Amino acid sequence: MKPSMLCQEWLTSLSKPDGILQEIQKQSRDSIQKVGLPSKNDEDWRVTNFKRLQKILEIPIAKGKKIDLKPELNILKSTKNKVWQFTLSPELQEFSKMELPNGVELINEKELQIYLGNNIELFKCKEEWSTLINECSAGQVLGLKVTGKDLPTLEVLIPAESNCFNATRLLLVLEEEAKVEVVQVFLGSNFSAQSHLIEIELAERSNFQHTIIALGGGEASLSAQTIIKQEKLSNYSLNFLQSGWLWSRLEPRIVQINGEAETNIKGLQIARKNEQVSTHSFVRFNGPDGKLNQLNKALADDSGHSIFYGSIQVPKIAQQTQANQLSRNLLLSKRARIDAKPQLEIIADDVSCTHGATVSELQEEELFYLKSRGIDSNRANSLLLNGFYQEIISAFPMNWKRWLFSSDLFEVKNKE
Amino acid sequence: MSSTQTVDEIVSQPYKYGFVTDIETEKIPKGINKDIIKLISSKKEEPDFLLKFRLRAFDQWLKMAEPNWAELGYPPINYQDLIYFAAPKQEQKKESLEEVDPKLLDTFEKLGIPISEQKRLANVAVDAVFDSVSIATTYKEKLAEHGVIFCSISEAVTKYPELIEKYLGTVVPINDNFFAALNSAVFSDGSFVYIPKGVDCPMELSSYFRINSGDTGQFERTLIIAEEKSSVSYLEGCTAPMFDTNTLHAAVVELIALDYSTIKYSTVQNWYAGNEEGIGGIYNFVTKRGQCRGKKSKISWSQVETGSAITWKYPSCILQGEESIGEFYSVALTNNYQQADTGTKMIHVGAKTRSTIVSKGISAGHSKNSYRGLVDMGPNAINAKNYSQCDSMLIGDKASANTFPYIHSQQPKASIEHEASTCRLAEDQLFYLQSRGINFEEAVSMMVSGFCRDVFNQLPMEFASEADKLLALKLEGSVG
Repeated sequence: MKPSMLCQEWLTSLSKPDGILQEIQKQSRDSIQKVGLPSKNDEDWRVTNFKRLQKILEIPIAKGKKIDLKPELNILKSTKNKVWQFTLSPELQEFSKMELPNGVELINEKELQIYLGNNIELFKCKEEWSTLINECSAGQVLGLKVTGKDLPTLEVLIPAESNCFNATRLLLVLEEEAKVEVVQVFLGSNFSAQSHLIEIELAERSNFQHTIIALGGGEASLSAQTIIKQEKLSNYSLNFLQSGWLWSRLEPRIVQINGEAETNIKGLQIARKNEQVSTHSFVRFNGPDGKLNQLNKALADDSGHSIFYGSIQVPKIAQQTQANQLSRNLLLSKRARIDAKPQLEIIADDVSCTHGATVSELQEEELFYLKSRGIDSNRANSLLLNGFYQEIISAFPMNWKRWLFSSDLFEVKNKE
Repeated sequence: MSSTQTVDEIVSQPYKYGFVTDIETEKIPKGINKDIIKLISSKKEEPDFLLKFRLRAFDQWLKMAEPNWAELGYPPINYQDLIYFAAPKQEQKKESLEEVDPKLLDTFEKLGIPISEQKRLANVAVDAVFDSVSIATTYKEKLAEHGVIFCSISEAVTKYPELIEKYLGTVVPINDNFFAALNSAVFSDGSFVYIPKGVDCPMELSSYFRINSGDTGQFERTLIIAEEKSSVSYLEGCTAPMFDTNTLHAAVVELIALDYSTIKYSTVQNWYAGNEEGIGGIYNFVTKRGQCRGKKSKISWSQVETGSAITWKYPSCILQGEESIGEFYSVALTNNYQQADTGTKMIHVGAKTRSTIVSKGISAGHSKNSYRGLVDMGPNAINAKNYSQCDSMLIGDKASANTFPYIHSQQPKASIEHEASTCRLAEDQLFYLQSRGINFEEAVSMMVSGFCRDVFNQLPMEFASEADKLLALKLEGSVG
């Protein structure tokens, strides 16, 4: 089917614009008809598997029924060790009845209108496909304001309804000096597709530890748009893991609105079997003295395809910026593919910016060393792989491994 | 700061090659169509296959769109408003230099090209191209002794049509890109080099390109073939007069290296870059590509880019032969309103192929300098290795430096390393040099030269010092 037809059919299958996002839904549905699906001519989408992208639009929209999580996932609830857990799904929920920990407030509808879309506007990414599909389909938005410092970890589970298209949207606002750790867990299911949009505003001196654990499984797809606005002296750290998706695309967009903030991004993406996993990050410094440390690690095995695009923009105003980006890629099979494209655009002259990228397989010498110590090939492979992961996952919160119920993350096939 | 002023003064040195030689030229009517192409072809008395080649390219060109993905901004070019062929009016074929118009020889002398035999001290054979026509090639006889063919491409078409037919358009196909297709349709002249089996070319070969007419596009075509176990080093230099209008330059360079052969291609590009307001200058849209066809063959590109208002140029290597080597060393300097989008492509096809990329970009004034590169490891590039390094230096806070390295790998046994950095002229280093009694200009020039050393080391001796001076000259007045 032609992409334009596909878009049309998808739009008709959506429910009528309603609720707080009514206006946004109307606008974006108009836009998507004009913009259509991305194509090979869009530099940011050039290496995407378009068949899989189109497939997403063929998946029926989730009815919003309650998703039953496997009971083992809720272990933490009973232990009560400073974790506040919440499940976000397309099902219409009454957020006002939610029990929130001290220091977190629900943003009411009136206030939501002030915040919603600000970050999208800032990045001019309203017509980006990842934004559009979410705005077209998300029926509600959960807005939380963090005012306190000493908070439990907020754990937001975002499971997918099997064989359905699930759209969810979040808005987080951190007040001055607030501090919070948020863990978002995306769980794909069979042929599900997920579209997620999160806007985060960080006021001065606030601190946000963000972890995204995205685990597909089956033939699931994910498109996650993360847009962050940082005020001066704020600190934002993003650690993420993407694995097991037939098709996934994570788009962290971060802007340091007045500079002087710190951003850390550590990502790990794993593409095995026939998966296509991609990260497209955009970091912009709109003021002086900003800092960025970015490390992206990727692994492609079997017929997997890993994509990393990392754009850093340093305009004239952003003097004294320090930005470092490193992309390290492991290519473990002949049929696997890796695409990496760092992108640095610099106008300010008094800055120090570096970026680097490497692609290789596991180092022969290291393997040889381990084997010479009597460690068998399989074990040696897995040790090295573990070491490769460790730099990223060591920053994950404790207990994160309980989500890996079906993942073979650490397994290495014998490459001999 | 006083230093700011000094630097400004230094950078704004006039372009010394900006003169126009008043010489009668023969031009054909403006515009491009099949008749014009037939006219060019008949003027050059070309064989039938070449005319067909041109017409095929023209058909392709009509179907293509001008690329717009580069970080460049320029007003649309009216391709019908250009003259596609201009030649100094006189008999084209000359037996000796005495027969060449003295005015022309004067021009080349002003440019410092050792074209007249008696003045030639350097061991460099020169092919000089003036507008569209190759004027003279020196040292021909000496080269012929070794079996080396070095002549203009028009001469090669008549004398060695079988070589032209065999190799022309095999590295850069006619439909490769918009500008390559245009060039294939209307190319006027250029150099042809053929190094036979087992011969190390006894001297550096060099060609000099000069655009003289204001409304002429220059479309030269260079073809270099190195047979088995041969080697050659080729230099290319370019200048143009100052005009307020923009002149189009769309060249195609094809290199073919067979088993165990080496081609080294160096460019010092000093086209007119436009004035301080960015008016005038050359639009330089060039397709350069080398193919390492043979085992252990090697192609090395080194370039110093200082001229032209717009540069769109990606000298590339297709590493086909086993254990073949590709190298790219580049210094790109942009000042005022110059824009450069340049880089390289290393396509690793064969096993154990290696490539090195070293790119240094210096942007001053309001200029834009982008590095755009691709490293591609094909499925058969077992144990292939790439190392890339691209550094940018920013002078002043109005210039921009962009890096777009693209990496694609399908071979786990291949390894790619890329690193990039951006810096500016460090004040403490400047201060240190000045405190040692070195004046500001010299200090800047030393630092820039140090920044580019990796690349200058790769240039042939006589070029390296020229390049150094050129950079100092171009930067005069831009540091602040």
